[in-house]
Amino acid sequence: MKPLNPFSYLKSNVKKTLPIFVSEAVGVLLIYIFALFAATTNKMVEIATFDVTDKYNIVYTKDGTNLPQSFLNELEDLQDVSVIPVQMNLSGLAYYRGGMGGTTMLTFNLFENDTQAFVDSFGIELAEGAFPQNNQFEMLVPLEFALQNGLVVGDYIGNDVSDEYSFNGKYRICGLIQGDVLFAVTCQPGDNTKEQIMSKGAMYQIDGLSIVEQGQLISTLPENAIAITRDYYQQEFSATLNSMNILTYILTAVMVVILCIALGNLNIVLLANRRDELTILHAIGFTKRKLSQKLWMENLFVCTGGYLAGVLITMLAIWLLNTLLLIPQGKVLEIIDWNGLIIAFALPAIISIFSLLPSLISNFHRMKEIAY
Amino acid sequence: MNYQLNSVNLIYDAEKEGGTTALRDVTLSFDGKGLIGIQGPSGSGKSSLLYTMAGLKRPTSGQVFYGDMDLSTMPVSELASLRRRDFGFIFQQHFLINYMTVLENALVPLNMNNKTVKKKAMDFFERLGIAQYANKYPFQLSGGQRQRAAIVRALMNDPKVIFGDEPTAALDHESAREVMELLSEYTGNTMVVIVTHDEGLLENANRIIYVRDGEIIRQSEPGQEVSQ
Repeated sequence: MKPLNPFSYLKSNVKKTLPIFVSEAVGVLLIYIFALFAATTNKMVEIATFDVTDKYNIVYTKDGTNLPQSFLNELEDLQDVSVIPVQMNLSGLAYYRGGMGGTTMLTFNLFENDTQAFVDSFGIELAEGAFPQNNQFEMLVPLEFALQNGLVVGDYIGNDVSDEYSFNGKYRICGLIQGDVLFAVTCQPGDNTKEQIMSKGAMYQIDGLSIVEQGQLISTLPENAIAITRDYYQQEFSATLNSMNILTYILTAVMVVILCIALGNLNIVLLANRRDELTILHAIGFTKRKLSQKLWMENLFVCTGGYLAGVLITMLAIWLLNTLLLIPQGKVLEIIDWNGLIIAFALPAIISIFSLLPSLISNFHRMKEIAY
Repeated sequence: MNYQLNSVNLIYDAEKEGGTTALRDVTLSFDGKGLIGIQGPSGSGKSSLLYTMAGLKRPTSGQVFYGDMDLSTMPVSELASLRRRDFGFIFQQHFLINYMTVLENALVPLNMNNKTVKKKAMDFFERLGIAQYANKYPFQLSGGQRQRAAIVRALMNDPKVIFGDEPTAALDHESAREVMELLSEYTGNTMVVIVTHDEGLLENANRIIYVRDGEIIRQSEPGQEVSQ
């Protein structure tokens, strides 16, 4: 190792650099934890809403009237597009908690012979129990939802059982499903035929449709029709999700300012104690630029080390929290969030520069006054 | 390489009223080799003369030529590069870097760490009797041992000019003599400029410059004495 290699200083001055390392690690830990909570919330919203609409668009009338025949004809004309009659009269009533809050899940009221294909289309597996049968007041719910509410197959949900549930009546949990998308399914068509249900509500696979085709289909709908699409959720959630991202940026900025001031002062003291070293190196012939580079690299390595430690400690803590507490309760926090990692990296990147500047200016200025 | 100081004045805090004059109208020339001693009472300006010659202090007026390079106007970064390339420094205090071993300290001017430079440093350490301390840290050494390590550091880059400000102040007389003998070996091709109170150490000097109140009051060369 070259004598002026930054590691040469760091390996011999662990105690001196420890406060910077620890401050950085704690700062990153706070930011990354917040970012993981935000990411978990985002993910929860994704899997309960957006991920459904990435596969299907859902159209129904909010007043129970029929959808326009022209729309239904267009749906019928679509080739290789699976169309499923659906009632959305129970949707938005099952609540799933995660991250910094919770979200209501979509609940699809289907015909029993459509259920298996619908569930399979998302790659979701039946973890336990069976699919719901027509008009039996049975419900298929996600395993996570069951765990969160302490439910097992055979238990009942609905406001007849407890005020905690928003479902009207009483539904028996017939099966638990497990996969990357969250929704509930029941089969309560009543005496209606598929055609009758379809005239009021339908969902259709959008895999084979272009964005333009999807837009054209929806554009023909009257005002009393609701079209649940990615855009629909985007409008509904963008303000909430954006505000969470902005909060993360604000928290990072506050942390950066606080740490820059605190570590800037600390660096002034540390560098004042190294003034003899800097003076002799300058006298020997190392330019202030070269010395600044050396000092910055040392600071960057300490800050980056603190960043890595902060990230690893956070990941370990969240993993333990998930394993010991959250997963058994049907919740899980994200462990890796690339956006959070990048935002948190602002700490070492900015702090390594700006916490050093005051001490460089102060010490290099005073070097002129030193008598050798 | 020739050295030439033309009417050099150095005033500390020149911009303030009552600035301190360290050097007054100093004109000197050197042929770039030999042992040069600078002597004078405390506060006479001898260290200021040394640092002005070394480019560590910029004269308030006048010129300092090293070859055809005017150190008084040379940009700071070029001055630093020149010092690293051509000069070696031994200061009154050893100024070793405490978190580096003695060997690493010696390698600092080259900022290299290969077998060749390590062997070179070890040869110097052998010569000065501190080889066994090569892997120790400066704070584990006595003052004399540290100063010898600092001397090795000054010699590592094969300097064309070696500047020593009381380099033997921390050494006993015998060690000081050994150091001067070592430095004398370089005077064939190198200029060694030493500030010292101990005139006995300059018995082999090619030239001794006497400074008082910032002025050169006298210079002596073997066989002759020149007054100014």
